[in-house]
Amino acid sequence: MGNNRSKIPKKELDDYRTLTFLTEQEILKVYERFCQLVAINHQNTDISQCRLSKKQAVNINELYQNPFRERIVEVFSSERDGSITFEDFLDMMSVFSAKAPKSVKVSYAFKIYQGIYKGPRPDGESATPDAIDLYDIKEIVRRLSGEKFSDEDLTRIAEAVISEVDLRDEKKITVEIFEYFLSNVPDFASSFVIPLSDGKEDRHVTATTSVLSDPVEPRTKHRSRPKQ
Amino acid sequence: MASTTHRRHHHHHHDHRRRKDSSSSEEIDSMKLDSIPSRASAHQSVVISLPSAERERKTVDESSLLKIIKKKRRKEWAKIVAPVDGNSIKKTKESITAKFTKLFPTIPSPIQFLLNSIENRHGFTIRSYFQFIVWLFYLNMFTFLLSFSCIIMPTYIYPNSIDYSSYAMDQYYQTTGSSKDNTSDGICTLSDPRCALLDKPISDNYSDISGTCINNTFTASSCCSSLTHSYFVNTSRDAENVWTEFLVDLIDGTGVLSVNRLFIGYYQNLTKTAKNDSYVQTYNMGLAVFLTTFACLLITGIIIVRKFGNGMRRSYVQSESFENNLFQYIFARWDYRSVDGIIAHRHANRFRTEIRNIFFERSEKVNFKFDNAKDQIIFQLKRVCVWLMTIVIFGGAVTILYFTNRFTFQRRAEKESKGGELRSGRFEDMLVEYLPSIVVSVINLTSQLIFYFMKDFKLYTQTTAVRHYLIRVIIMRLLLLFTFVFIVILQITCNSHQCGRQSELISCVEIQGKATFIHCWETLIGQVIYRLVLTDTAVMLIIHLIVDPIRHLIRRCCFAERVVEEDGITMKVHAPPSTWFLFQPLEFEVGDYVLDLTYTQTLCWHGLLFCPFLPLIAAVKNIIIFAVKSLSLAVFRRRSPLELSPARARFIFTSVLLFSFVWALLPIAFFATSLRPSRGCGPFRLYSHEPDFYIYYSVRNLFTQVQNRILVKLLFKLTSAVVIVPLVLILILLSCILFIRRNSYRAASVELYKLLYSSRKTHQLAVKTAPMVSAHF
Repeated sequence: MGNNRSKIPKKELDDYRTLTFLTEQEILKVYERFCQLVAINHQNTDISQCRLSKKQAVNINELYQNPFRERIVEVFSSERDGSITFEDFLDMMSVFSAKAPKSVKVSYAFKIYQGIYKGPRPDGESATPDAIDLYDIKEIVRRLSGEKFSDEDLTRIAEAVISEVDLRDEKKITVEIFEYFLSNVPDFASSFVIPLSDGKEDRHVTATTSVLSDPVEPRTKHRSRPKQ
Repeated sequence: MASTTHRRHHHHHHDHRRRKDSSSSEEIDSMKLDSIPSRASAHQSVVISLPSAERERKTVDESSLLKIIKKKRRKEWAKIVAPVDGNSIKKTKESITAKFTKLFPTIPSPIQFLLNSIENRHGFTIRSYFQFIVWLFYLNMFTFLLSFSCIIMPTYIYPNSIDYSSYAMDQYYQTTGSSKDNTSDGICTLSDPRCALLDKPISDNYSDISGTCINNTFTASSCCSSLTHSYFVNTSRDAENVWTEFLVDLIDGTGVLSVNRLFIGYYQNLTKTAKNDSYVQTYNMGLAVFLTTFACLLITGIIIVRKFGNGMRRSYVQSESFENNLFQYIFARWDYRSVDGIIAHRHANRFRTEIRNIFFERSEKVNFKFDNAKDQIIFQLKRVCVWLMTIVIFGGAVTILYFTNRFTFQRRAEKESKGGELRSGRFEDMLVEYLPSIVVSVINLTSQLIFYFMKDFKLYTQTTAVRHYLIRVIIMRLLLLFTFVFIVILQITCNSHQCGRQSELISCVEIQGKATFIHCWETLIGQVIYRLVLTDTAVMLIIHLIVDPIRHLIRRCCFAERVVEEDGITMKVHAPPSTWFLFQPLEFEVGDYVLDLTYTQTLCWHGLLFCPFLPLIAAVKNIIIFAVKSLSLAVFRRRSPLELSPARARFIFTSVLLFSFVWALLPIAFFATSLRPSRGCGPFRLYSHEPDFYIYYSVRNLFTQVQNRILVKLLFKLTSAVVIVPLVLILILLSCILFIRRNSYRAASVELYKLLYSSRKTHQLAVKTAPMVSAHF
């Protein structure tokens, strides 16, 4: 695997360095890690063709214990099916690196937390597309507490959270509220970091390569957020 | 035709603009997966080809902002939120100071490894406590390094140095030609200060005090030096040979250690002369001591204030109550770095406990609302009673300490007035000397237990009760220390010994019957603080190494196992019913331990002027504390379920340290400016011929070397009260202003947020009405 280092041309490395918050060393490490994950055996396989399927991505060592891992994979994936390419992975590691500015982390945190609840809603309510609503908060608390709270506890907690920060009485948390209150938390930037693991405990990822045969048009997930 | 050319122009124009846009905003370019940049066109930036977007360009004339919004590539998104251009995303060169400040707290790897393992097992607050210990260790080592190189090392460099006044007297005798040796019948009297000390016995006849030696200002310091030295030597003769005596002396701080480098009484101006007396070099030890202490305290103060200021910056935009709200617990509590399954499981348990605590506290506040006025009044009266009880406890502690100290000092005065020969048992002496320190520790412990018990009175919410408890404990300790120092000062100023006489600050009515004879008050204070530090260490060791195991064993074998549900895990724990609070499972109380640490550090700062080795002792104590506490954590104590959040913990540590530091400055300032140095010991003995000399005059005397008399007068005026008092007032005013500003910043921040929120809303509306292209993306 060591000679994969020469696989990224210098120009590309420079561009990656410009576009992400990582140094060259770190980009190479991410590259090696990704190769490890997709278990490339041939040296001639184009890395740009390899993807991690959603199921595999959710189980990698860095994300395995994270209660929000599916949502993280969905946010960073550029495909409809939630699979991760190398650049998605690089993007993820860049945002979760220590050098990413707090505002970037906060906005990604919002994207992760918003829309996390995928279950049924009563009375045919539709999901609020640009804000964290009651159901999302209930889902977050449910996952964080190890699924031990009862439903009415969850509702009580969610309502308490919203009433704390809701300045406009809208029963949901919009992105500005979220960013404002979260940027005041001093430890947030240092805890919103995922270090690259060395792969020794990658017991959950199956070793099959997932190489797609046809190049797919990159698409961003549809999010109706017309604001900046 | 015209239309097609027009269209071509239009298309060309669009193309051109697109190219310009893309080159000027290269940070929003992204990469397509199937076009590696090496095959790109001659753009210096990355390839942009967006075949899908081109169709839209032709139809709609849109701003670049809308383009960004519509394209919405993930990587562009990052740049929008953090609108910096590509050049500044490249690594910013850290300034030298930033690199240096990053270097300073980098802890070498074994300690870092230890801290990480502590964090993994016990959480962040406990890890930050141990990190605090390590930080204090480095601070102490730095202080010791400074004092070693400036104060202690010169005594090794200048061996066999004589006192400058002896040298001067030699010269005087030489020039006047009078006889050097005027001893008669083998006994040295105080009239002849140049008796060789250990060869000839010296007469302690105090009626001889009115002799010429002491009144002669130039010989006074030599007289007193020899007298003091002989007194101390007499009391330490045994220890040079027998190691048990030496050990006892080491614990006691007297005896052989009195004339040791440990205490400042040993130090004097150092003179090196060439063989033929043609060359004299003096190291001004007094100036060195004063300046080194001043520099150490200044640097320490700056470091602490900087550390405190980092936490203050955050508190400018949020009030402390914000940190305990639910929003942070839901959205910012999960640490994405954790990859260990056990930690995640523990985290879930902790999360539930914390949420439950928050809700419990909110419901507690409801309990404090009463319907009728009578209940309300009774409730407030109860609160007032609790505080009155606190004040009574403080008063009682201070009185007990005062009487204990007085007893000890009177005992010592009796001993000294009999010339040091009444040695009523070495151990009894030591016990008497240690009595005040032991009393201080005992009072601290009992009052801590009482305050802990008072915490459960249900008169305040839980966090407020904990805060009050910490405040009470720290005030008690500092108050006791203050009383101690005050009584020592009282004894010193009532000194009736010729060689150490002070101007009377307070009437010595209490003590006049048995006057104290203190040869060397600097060494006395050094000894007192040394004993306090040792007592504190001994008490901590006893509690952790003896009392804890005993309690643990009693708990295990005398109380039956009960099934206890904790944090959702049912486990079997030996625990008595909750009323037996002495035998409950022991907890690692981070707040208490931090107060202990700052108490030691305060002692170290108090004694810095009088015992140059004290920072080293404090550093060694830090190591001992680290080892003992981690052992205790691993075996006997478990983590407390009610814990501070990390930022709050850091804020508390540094603010307590800052408060203690400011408190410690007061006695030092007093000592340096209001007490005359003793004539027989210490680095300032040389100047004691002046009637009006204080320690800080050693700096002022530097100014006299300036030739210009007007400048000298001006400098003297600057350091007098005329300037200092208004300066202090201005500083107080400035702190009030800063406090008010902080509160107004918070209010302004909330207003700004509201403004921003409403303005963003309008922007959002405007963008919504812009023509949206079909959802091709």
